[in-house]
Amino acid sequence: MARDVIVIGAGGGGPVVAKELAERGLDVLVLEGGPRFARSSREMRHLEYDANDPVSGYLRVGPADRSRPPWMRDLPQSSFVWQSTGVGGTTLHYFANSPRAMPGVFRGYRGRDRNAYDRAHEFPFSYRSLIPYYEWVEHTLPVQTAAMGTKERVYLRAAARSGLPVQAGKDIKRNSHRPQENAILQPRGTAGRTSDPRKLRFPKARGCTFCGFCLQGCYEPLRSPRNLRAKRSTDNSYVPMALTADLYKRGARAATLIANAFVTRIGTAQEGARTVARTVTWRDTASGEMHTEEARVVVMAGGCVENPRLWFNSNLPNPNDWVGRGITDHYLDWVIGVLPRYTGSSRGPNSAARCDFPGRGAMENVGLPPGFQAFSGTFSDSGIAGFYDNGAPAAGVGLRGADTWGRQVGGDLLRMMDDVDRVLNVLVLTDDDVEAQNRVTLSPNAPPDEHGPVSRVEMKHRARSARTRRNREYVSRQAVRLLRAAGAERIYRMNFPPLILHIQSSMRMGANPADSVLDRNAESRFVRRLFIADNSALPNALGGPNPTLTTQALATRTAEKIFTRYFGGEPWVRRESPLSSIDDRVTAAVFRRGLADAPRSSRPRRRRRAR
Amino acid sequence: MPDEVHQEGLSRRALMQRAGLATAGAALAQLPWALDAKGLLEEARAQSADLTEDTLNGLVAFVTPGDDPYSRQQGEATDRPGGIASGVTPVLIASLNRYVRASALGAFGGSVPAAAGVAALLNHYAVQASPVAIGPFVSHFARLGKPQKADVFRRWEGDPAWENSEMRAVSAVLIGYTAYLTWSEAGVFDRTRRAPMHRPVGWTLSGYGGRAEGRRELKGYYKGRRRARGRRRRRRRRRA
Repeated sequence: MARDVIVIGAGGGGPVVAKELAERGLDVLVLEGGPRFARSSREMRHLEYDANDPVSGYLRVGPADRSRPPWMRDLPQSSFVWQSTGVGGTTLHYFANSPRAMPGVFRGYRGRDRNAYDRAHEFPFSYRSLIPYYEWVEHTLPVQTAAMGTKERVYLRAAARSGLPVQAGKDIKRNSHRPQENAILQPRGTAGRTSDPRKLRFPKARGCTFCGFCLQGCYEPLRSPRNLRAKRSTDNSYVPMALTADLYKRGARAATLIANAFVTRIGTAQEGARTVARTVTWRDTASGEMHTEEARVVVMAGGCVENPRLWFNSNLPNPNDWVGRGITDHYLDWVIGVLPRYTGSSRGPNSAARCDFPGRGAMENVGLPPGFQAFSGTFSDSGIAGFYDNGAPAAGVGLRGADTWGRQVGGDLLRMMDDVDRVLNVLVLTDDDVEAQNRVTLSPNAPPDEHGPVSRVEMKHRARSARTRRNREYVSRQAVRLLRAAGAERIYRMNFPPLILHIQSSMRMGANPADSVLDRNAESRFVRRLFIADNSALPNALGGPNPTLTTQALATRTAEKIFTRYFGGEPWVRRESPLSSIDDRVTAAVFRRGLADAPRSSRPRRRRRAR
Repeated sequence: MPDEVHQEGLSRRALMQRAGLATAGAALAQLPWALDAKGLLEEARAQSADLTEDTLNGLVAFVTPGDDPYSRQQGEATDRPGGIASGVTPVLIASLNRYVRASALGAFGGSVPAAAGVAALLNHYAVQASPVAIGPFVSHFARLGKPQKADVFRRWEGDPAWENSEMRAVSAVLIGYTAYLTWSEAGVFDRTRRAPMHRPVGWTLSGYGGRAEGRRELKGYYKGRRRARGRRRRRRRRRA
């Protein structure tokens, strides 16, 4: 018998659709190509090589068996794609930054700066119409205002000294600075107030313990139930809800999750003149067995790189040649300041302070442990410091007030890394244009892997639009300015080659059928009953803000569209109140289903009736 | 990449598929093609493990010098343990070799460990950067001074043969990946216990506090603000 909905991918977006539709009582199957960290408190470690090594780390892109090679992509330029497979997807290692998109990237924006944005690729609906979905997700995760550690205090005070006003609300209206709105439970009890692990156990410690290991996956505080872990990666929030929906909500039906299930094909059928999605075929990555199931609706959520690959490998139609095109990646850059005093850069949540520049982009503080700090100081498109610049100035890239650029090697790296807690990093997020040349195709050179031909990710970073390059230089100059205001003794501009980790819009929605894959409901224009619900569905780069929250708001909207269009249901976001993933009812359901990964003593005492 | 080579690569891929060998990931899958294009394929295949290790020791010391012979040879050393002492070279070799299976390279008539291929390219550009280099190491690259080693990367990155090929990505990431391994716990990581065997050199060099379940680092809320303004109060309109 056919499932109601099959969701392909359990990353940042897929579980949102699964949870929302499971709460509506639909039969939802979620397939995830990577492993499931069901006992993350034992499976994850606060070690950056063990966790993040792209070859063998548990958060790599690859099968659960770490003795096997990773799944690779063809990158025909200086670049690195940084993603993670597994239940939770890239939210496993994300910083949980949850700003809303810039209002200027939506249809109907009438601000004076309206021409500062990529108007040709705006959202096909208004910002105002997305706000209820933002609020729904912000309550569900939940999203909270970040507390400060030393590095945030240094960053925010420097931002104020450099003349930027504070932003007090969630909507970005002007150049400003603020603590991040993060999908992180903020510290309570002993969290953030002690380094003694004996005092950092739930429930004495609640929320973020300031350990500094967001990148390695979050299992803090120790002994906390799965849905009360500090970082709200989907494996700690939406997935537990999807799998227990029947226990906390009347009329709901628990979703089914299969991990290590790599989807290799979407099958279609003809309904009159229309092509419709009908079946999903996947491979068990451990046994190699193939399985196929039917569904009334299929939702792709395998990410910006894998969605186009699956589309091409399924021989789905691509009449306007926009499948895989139009990638935005915030054309990241990185500016490092070394200060004469303690910043605590390796401690606390990895990113908890930001600045926004509507029409230009954004920037945020990032703290790192030493391996990644060293990587960030040796990854550059400007050659090696003191020896060659790789032609970067001819490409329009400049120091913008920094003291040096290029890879820091040898004595330069030792000096930069002399004290990892005197560093202050700024990540530059460019409001970059949708450009057809930046795309995912199937690689003509690399051999296929066990799941078929592999992806080729092309980013023509030195041929990006004038607006994109101008914006990047502008925000990089602001980063240098902030670091000077912070008192940095030496400032390094790295001029990253494409570090593709904020990757968006490769299967973009849009108003124009000539340059979009999805219509305004996130349904494919060419294959009906096929929706997309991850970053690849975004129409543009959001103006620079981190994409996950907007993807999750859009995925919530997409779930509503699926329910109303194909299952005869009513929309709910404007009529009902969401249940938070940290509500006692969810916690009780997580324990009852055996998903808590915590001792029974951590169970909530008071029980409430199902709503 | 030139059309001629591209076509050749495609036919080789087809050969691999027929031979049932096409099972590896993509990264570094173009390495045999790259080596072949430079006339280095046989050299890489014949390269000894010692030469590979010697070359990559030269790379590790270039990125993070210390009190070791490789650092002294390049003219930039310190009085403290550095990259070589971090024990990272075997990890770098193993990682490069695991990045792509030897079977993916088999279409060229035999396997070429990826680390050997990378070492062959480094030595190839090293000869171009400085045809004569004297020193106690078997690797030409490891005998170079720091400026010549930097010149090796300038040549690799600027080589027009690698236009639109993943060898660009390899040159971009090689130094950064070496640094990441060196300054993390990779060199002393015990895979059985999933823990460092002792304090990693990179942690000591950077004054890093190491693992912790939490830190005493909370400084309160910026200007006392605990929530963003403008959040609409949600009215409970209907119970589902």
